[in-house]
Amino acid sequence: MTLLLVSDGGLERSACVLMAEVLHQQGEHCITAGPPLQGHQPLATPAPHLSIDVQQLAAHPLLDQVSAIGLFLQDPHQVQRFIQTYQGLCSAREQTAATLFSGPLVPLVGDALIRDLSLRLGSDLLLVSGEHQRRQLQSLTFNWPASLKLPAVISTGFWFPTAAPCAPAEQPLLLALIQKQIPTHIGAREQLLRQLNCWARQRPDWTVMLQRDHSWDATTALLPSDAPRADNLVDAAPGQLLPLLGSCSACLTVSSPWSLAAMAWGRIPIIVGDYGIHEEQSTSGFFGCGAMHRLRSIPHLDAVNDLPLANQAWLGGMGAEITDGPNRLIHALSALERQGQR
Amino acid sequence: MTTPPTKPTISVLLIADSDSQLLACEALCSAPTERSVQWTINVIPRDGTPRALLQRLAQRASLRHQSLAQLLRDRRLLSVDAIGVFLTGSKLNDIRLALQQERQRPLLFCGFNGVVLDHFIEGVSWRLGYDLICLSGPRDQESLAQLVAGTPFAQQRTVLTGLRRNTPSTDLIPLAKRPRRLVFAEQVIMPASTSERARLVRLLSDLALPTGRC
Repeated sequence: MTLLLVSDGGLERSACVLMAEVLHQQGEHCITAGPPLQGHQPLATPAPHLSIDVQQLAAHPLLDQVSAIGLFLQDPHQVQRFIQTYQGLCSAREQTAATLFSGPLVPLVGDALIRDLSLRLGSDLLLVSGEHQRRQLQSLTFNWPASLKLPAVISTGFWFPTAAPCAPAEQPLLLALIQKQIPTHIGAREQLLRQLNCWARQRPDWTVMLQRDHSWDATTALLPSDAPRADNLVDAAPGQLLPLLGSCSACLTVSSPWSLAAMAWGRIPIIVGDYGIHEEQSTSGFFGCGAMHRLRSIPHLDAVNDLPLANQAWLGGMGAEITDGPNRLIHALSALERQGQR
Repeated sequence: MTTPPTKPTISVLLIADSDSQLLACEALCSAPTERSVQWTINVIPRDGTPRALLQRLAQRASLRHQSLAQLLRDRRLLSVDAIGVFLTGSKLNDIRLALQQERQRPLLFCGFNGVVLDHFIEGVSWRLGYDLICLSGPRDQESLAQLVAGTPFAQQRTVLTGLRRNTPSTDLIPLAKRPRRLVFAEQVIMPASTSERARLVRLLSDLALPTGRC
């Protein structure tokens, strides 16, 4: 089986590279493709085999040689557009389209999950993170009419490696995952950064690392320039996200999906609860994680050591209990291939 | 022969503000109950509550018109057996927090406002910790059970109370004899965008055109 894995963002690219590595070890041929990533990246990810714009790819002759295409694009609208273009071209050329699979990679719940599904309905196979997502989709679609063809759904677990790349550092390290647009309230991100600066000043034996979870350019500073900056409050260099998630003692965020890696690797998670459970803040997905804390409930950084690990039952349902995702993918693709032959 | 003991009357206070929530309260008070219930409804004052609805409610229950702040200071709040709260998120939280400090408090229950189309998780997060959450149907009950599984709220009690807001009319004109009329129930916020609303009007307008002109 030859698989083409298409991605256009850092998280998606790293997931495709990891998936391709595992599938390659199992004897499958995998090609990664997508546009080059722009700006500083939080992850050190190798370039794809084929560097190409996603919309150009839909008409590329390479697609005639693959049995399945995995679409992992940041914006699911782009997935829908690609599928329409590709299937339209196949139909005009009277060619059978390759099996299309796709998924959000990160565990979505509730409204976000169903919104995402509605944009991926053209796929033959939908990959969701955990059993929780698969069950939720079952409940949400049980009475849909047969005319609305639903893709087959499988859970394939998390998008990052099962084991941490390194052990926690000896010196205590708080890793703060800073998101591009969350929290959405005006001034809230600056307030959060000021709080981190204040905590760092109070406990010089700790390091507080500010790590963006998205691409950035070198000219934009994270911390407001008016505040005197603590010596132990440090901006992470590009490409350091995974090593930092592995070496941190605790990981703080409002709702960055990368906090799941810290949880899965047994680091102390702090999901900032000050903004409540809200779709707008993407915090709904953390309902039940057991790691939501208000900032004011943490008096200083040493108190972080007493906070609990993530709720393991919740984490398992979100995808942590699945360790054979690529295997499940191959089985599901083979089953779809057999169905198509019948 | 002994007569079965009569079950004692229970007193229930319902708190609501919007007309749709008040309709839910009316449906609750109007339904037959196994036990005799003494209903009180606190209608939190707001503009535009239909007078006819208030008149109907007054026939079913004793009405009060206190604001939330007044209500939370009123010691009569503690004298009822149960309080049903039919308000939005933060107000649900305010009432639960105010009452959980009391050593002896009435049972607290709450519901959702009609069919839950979205934001279910947010809605649930405001309601957890109530003694009982009323849900519209099995879909919501299953979603809630999935959400709270493996969390400290796994034992959260729920009950299905359905969506019925009023009793269906028994003197309906047979379908064939009814005027050929389509009623469109317009909503304030759905669809939200101007372009979607314009499209909806066009679709309705097309429906109204005589056959053959579409």
